[in-house]
Amino acid sequence: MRRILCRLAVLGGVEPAAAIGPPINTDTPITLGFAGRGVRTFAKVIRASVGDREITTTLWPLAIPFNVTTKMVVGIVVPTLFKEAAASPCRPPGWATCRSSPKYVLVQIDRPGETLRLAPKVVLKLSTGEDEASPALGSGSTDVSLGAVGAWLRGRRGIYGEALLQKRGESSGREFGRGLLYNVAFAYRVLPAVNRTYPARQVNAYLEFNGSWTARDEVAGVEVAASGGHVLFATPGLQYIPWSRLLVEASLQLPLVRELKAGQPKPDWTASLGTRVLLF
Amino acid sequence: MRTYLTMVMLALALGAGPSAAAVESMTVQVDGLVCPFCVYGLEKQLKKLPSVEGVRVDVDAGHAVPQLAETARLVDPEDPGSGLIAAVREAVESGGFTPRILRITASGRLETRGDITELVVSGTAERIAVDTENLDPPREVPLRVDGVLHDDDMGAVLEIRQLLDTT
Repeated sequence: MRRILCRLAVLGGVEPAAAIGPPINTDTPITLGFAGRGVRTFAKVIRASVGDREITTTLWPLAIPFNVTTKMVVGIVVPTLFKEAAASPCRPPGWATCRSSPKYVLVQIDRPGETLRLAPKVVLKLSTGEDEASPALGSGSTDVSLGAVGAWLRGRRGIYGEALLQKRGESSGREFGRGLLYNVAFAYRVLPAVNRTYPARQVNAYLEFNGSWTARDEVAGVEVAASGGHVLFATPGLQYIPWSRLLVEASLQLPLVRELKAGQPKPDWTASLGTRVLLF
Repeated sequence: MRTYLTMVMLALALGAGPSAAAVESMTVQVDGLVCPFCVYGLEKQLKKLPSVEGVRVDVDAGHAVPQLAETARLVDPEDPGSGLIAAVREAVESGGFTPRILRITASGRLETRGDITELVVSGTAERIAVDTENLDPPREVPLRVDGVLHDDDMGAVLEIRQLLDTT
């Protein structure tokens, strides 16, 4: 069961550590310069199934971005709260894995009403999740990911992309397979059509594609059958900005590809409802 | 009575200093301004400047309009690189965007000293070097000008784009 929950956490793309701008499930290279101190939190409900058995998991991550320089942001996801794991046996909420993800805006080409940015990124996932009890709330491994996030925005439209190569660690003799996370997001400002005044109430629509591929795990040099695979979600989402410091958003991830090895839970859908607040 | 007279004289003396803002408006073209939620950073950095009392941002037009305090000075005569012009540029960069053109509307008169023509800003006696290559406005008469500020090796230079009605 602990492995099931760990897989769900990975496949669900649990916590993009960006709390400073759109889109919903893909990171952004656009920073707030020195101005940003914010908080992002959201509830994420993941529904998956193994054979006839359905598993519902509710996550409640809290992400805090901190601007070290005008071009460097360190995102910290404080230990994720598993609010509920509605599989049997059910266990009380607890702390899951803590993540830190610094990124640096390496390329910034700004033009009137247009920007192109690219930021290399590192994600460090610590083995802080409770993994003693079952079901576990963390994998027990320390993982390092390297990659980049980029965006091109012009007027009301934007394209975001993110790719991360994961070097996953070991826990209890199990070597976790390497992984690749990739996200693409198409963004469109629905309202207002013309944004003359700031702050103005705003509605953004997104269509994201969130994918992950993982190699098989190994125990004593032998591949674990029920591990590894490829999952790709299509994710429509909506975002509402009622005030310059507040943003609320919702998305629904629907699987396009579920090529998972036997015995693993296959994700049916993932729903997210969240908010971002710029504190000071 | 004596105290009252002293207070009146003090008030008159204070009122004799620089009065109305001679730089009527400033507009900063900000490139890369496409993320309204991120404008918060730009607004916050500009508002931090002591010479700026408020900021208006037009996201689609890509510009910010700092509302300048009456005491705002465009350039520091002791250090031309550290006046309001430099501070505004730095604030935009600190907000995560790229500053381009700084456009101002100001009143004053032109004075030529040697090869250099300067705009002596009304009420403040602040002097800004002027590029008169495209326009050749009259000297030593009250003017109201619209122009673009450029950074030069010698400091800020105002390129006058048009003469405005002084009334």
